[in-house]
Amino acid sequence: MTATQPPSATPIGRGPEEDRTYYGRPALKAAPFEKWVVGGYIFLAGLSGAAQLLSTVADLVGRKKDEAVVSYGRWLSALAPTVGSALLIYDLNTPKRFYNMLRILKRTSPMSIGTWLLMAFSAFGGMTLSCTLLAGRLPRLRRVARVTQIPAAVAGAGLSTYTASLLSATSTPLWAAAPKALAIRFGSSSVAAGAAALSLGARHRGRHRAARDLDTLMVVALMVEALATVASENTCHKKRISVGTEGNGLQAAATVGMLLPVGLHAISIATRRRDTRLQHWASWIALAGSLCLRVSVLEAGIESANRPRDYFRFARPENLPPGT
Amino acid sequence: MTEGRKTMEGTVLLVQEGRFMLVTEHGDSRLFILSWRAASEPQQLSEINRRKVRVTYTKAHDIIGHVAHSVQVLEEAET
Amino acid sequence: MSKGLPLSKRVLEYPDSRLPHMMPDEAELTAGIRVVSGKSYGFFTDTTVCIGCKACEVACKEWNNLPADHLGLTGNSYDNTGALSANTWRHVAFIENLADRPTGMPAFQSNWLMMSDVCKHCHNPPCMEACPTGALFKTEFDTVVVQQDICNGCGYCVPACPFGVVDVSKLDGKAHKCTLCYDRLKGGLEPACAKSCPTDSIQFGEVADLQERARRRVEELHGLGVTSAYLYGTPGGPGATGGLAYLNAFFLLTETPETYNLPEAPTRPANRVAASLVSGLAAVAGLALAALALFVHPD
Repeated sequence: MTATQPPSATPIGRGPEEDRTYYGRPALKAAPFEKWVVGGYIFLAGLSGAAQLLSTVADLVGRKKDEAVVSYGRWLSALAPTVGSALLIYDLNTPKRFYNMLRILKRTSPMSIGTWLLMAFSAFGGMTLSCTLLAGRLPRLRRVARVTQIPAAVAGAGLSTYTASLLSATSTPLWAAAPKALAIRFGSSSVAAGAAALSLGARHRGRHRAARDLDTLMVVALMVEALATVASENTCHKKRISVGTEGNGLQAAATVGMLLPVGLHAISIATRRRDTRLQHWASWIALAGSLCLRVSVLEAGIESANRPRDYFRFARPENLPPGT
Repeated sequence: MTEGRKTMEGTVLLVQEGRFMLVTEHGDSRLFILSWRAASEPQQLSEINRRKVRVTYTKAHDIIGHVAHSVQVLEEAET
Repeated sequence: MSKGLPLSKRVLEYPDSRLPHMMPDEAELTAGIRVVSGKSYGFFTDTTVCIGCKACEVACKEWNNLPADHLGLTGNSYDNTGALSANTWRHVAFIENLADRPTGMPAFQSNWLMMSDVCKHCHNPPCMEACPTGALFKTEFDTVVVQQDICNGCGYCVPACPFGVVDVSKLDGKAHKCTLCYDRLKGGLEPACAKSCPTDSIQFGEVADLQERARRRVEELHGLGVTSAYLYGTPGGPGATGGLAYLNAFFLLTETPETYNLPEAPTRPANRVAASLVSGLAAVAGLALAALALFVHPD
């Protein structure tokens, strides 16, 4: 090598030039999130948000006798403000300062957007639920609930999918590579979980017709999720970003949780079984799959941030958004 | 979370963010990081600069330093 | 030979080796500029003159009272620091060309590359854009600092950073990174790392001046035959891509960015917020319409 030769003509270390790393050390810092805590929150936020949204739709256009399903949805919407918030605060490294999240609203930060979505959802969802509970004494409150459920449903729609933006708006290659597909995966998984939980409630109350509608919706949502998953993996393969994890256990569980309920539903239709056990199982598996999806995406993202090659392949000029 | 806690007395010589340097009367200097569990906040640490304090601490494993759990200003005259 | 920094006439005011008091505007003597609020400051790190002495790492730890971490040896050349972290705000990277160790030493850099890495103090800082509490802010010196009295350790700035700089300490539960010696700047002092750098590989100054100085240095190096020299983090160059605009702390490199553990084309993560929110909401809205079609039942 002479001084006039560009040094890049000689590879430093091993490997082809474009796949060079610095001793294989991570070029990024992985999100310091506890995957079960934050994954659990993302699942509950999705479940609550979607349950509120679906119960609002059911209340507005559904049958009067399915009121029990509506109130199930309103109860489920209490999960995110209570257990969900507790999980979020638990994941902070200085939990006693959780209220600092409420100092500002920043539109470049999905975490800040999400904080306010959760606040709005808690307020309107809480009002809707309290009005439903007190409607026995004060029937007028039923009408208040019909109004407050609408902003609650809008916030719920946001809550069921913003968590994908939260992950995509980072430098973690796996989360950032396919932001739209990830948002569709999370959104549809939330709707599937919400429908599954409401269907369980409807069956419990003997509202089989409503449960069947909810099961159909769950299957549609799971199929949307499956399509988005394929699209997301294609994008990652194109950018040469590995989607796998070391163990692969959670990812497999998420895939089973996405496809098995669809299969069980198909079997139950094909065999025309009056027995609802299959549907019952399908709902529970879909709920577990929705949780596994979130935890496995967190796990895989954290691992991908620690793989410098994945990041360097993602951070290539050809992957830059147009206009920047 | 009280097992393994020790105390040390000395004069605070340097405060930066949530970190401070304590020098004992024997001249040993130790670096402390204020624990997130401590009642005091990092912004209060500037008040203890150049004052004698008693620190309750535990050893940190991955750094050369200690984790301060409580910082108490000693009322004696400053040295 | 490149000319050194202009020496301030003010050195004549201090003929003795003992100083009676802190010098006002000391940066005038050490960096040739007066630090005033409202201007944009940064670092120009010229890796071609870095000798890997790690004085910057030590000066940073001393001034900021940061504990030693990454204890032990890495086996990665002379780099036992490893990476930037909550307790390490300057990190000297060492790259040895082991693949083809020549028998005769080349004229340039003897097959060694060294680079003092630091927070880039991005013009559009992704960490600050991600921070939900407002703890991360832009100072009056156009630098990016974590306010320790506000940070609640949510850790969202950590994956947001495209350079792996910001880190959360599990001990004090707050995010930490280089402050570009915010307290020193307020006192008119040059940042500790730049002041201690014996070869002026780390230069502190106003960003526009530094960019001009860096461009001249690249030309000079090209003239000397080091045609691989380029700037990382200046407008339009690698490292300043994807909406980051430019980096207040930028570098002169002679190898691919990846060699130094830097991404060639980092992006601003906030770019992805709108697209992701819109498609997620569209999917949920579509499924809500499907629900409407399924549930609708006139009583």
